[in-house]
Amino acid sequence: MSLRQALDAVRLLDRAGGGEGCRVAIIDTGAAEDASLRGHVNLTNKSITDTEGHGEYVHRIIHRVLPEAEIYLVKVPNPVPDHLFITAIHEAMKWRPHAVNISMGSEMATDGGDPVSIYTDRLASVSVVVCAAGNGGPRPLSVGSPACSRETLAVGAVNMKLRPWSSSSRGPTLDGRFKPDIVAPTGYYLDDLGVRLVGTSFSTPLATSAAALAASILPRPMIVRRLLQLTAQPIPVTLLNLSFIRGQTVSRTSLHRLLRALAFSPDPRNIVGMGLLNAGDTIAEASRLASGG
Amino acid sequence: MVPCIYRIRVEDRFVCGARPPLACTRGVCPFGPTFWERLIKHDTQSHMLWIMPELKIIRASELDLGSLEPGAYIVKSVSLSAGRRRRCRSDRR
Repeated sequence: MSLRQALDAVRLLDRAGGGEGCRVAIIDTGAAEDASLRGHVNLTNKSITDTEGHGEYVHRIIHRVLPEAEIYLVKVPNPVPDHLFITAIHEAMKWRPHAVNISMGSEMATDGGDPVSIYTDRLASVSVVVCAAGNGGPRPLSVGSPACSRETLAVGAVNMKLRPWSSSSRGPTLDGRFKPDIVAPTGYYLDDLGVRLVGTSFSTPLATSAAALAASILPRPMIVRRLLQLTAQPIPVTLLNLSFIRGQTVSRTSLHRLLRALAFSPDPRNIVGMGLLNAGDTIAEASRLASGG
Repeated sequence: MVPCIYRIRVEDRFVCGARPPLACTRGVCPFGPTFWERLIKHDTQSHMLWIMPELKIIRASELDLGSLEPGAYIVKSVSLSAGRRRRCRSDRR
């Protein structure tokens, strides 16, 4: 799957190629050398260019989808301590972007009461904050901060066949909320570079682009976040593999396994959230609300 | 397994950071016994701690449970990373 096919899957292809007036902030490990950047803050002692093979691609994806958008970057080291990440959030908030892309996170279970989640919630009052759910799946409780904060949009991943990607982090949060919120494709190729991008870090920029387009039409971050959830396309999830039960007679061992499986059977909303990102419907709905329809 | 952000080691015992100074036990855990059993299987400790909600960061060695304000809770300081990816079955083929 190429980026073009991934954009088509999330109905963003016909919207790509624009983004004029959109402001997108990225908090990541650096920028691509050949993609435009409107402003940046460097919280490391290295150059703004990415050397980790992460922020560069996030920047490229957003630039390809929204070439006319104003892109801002806060470069942070990898890994980044939480107090420095809070500084990055403050810096991003100064630009008042329509959407903020955060493809970084911790894998420590939390209920949204940690400092990073609290500051991210503050940022979410001015921008749509789109966070990668993480690559800690398939174990439950693997969505860490800031994805598990209350007001951010946590993005999980589906594979090229649009089935849940096994390593995409799963909810719930410690206080029992469903996460991720939506999913977007991962494992696509950046055509000219021949690089396959795998992980929720690279499904997140697709959602960020859609969020920025919708928020530039309807500048109400909370409503846009909710629209992204409500317009998502449901994805069928197979919860239990019952292949270990064979024949008519259920043995004691099989019954024991079945009961164990049922006890830890995850809710589909903790795997794929509300479903696959549907950028077309989100933007259409944002336009309708903005025009008072 | 996933470590808990509230399980704080104080000398030779574990305290629930969400309900200090109570010990981290099945009955005290605010998230219930099922989550507690999963959370304690793997634990990592941080050198720095946050005293919340005042957002004050301190060294773990400086923690004084007796001086906490009512309603205060303790959270481990964490690092956020990019690009960490667990290998999945299909990758090992």
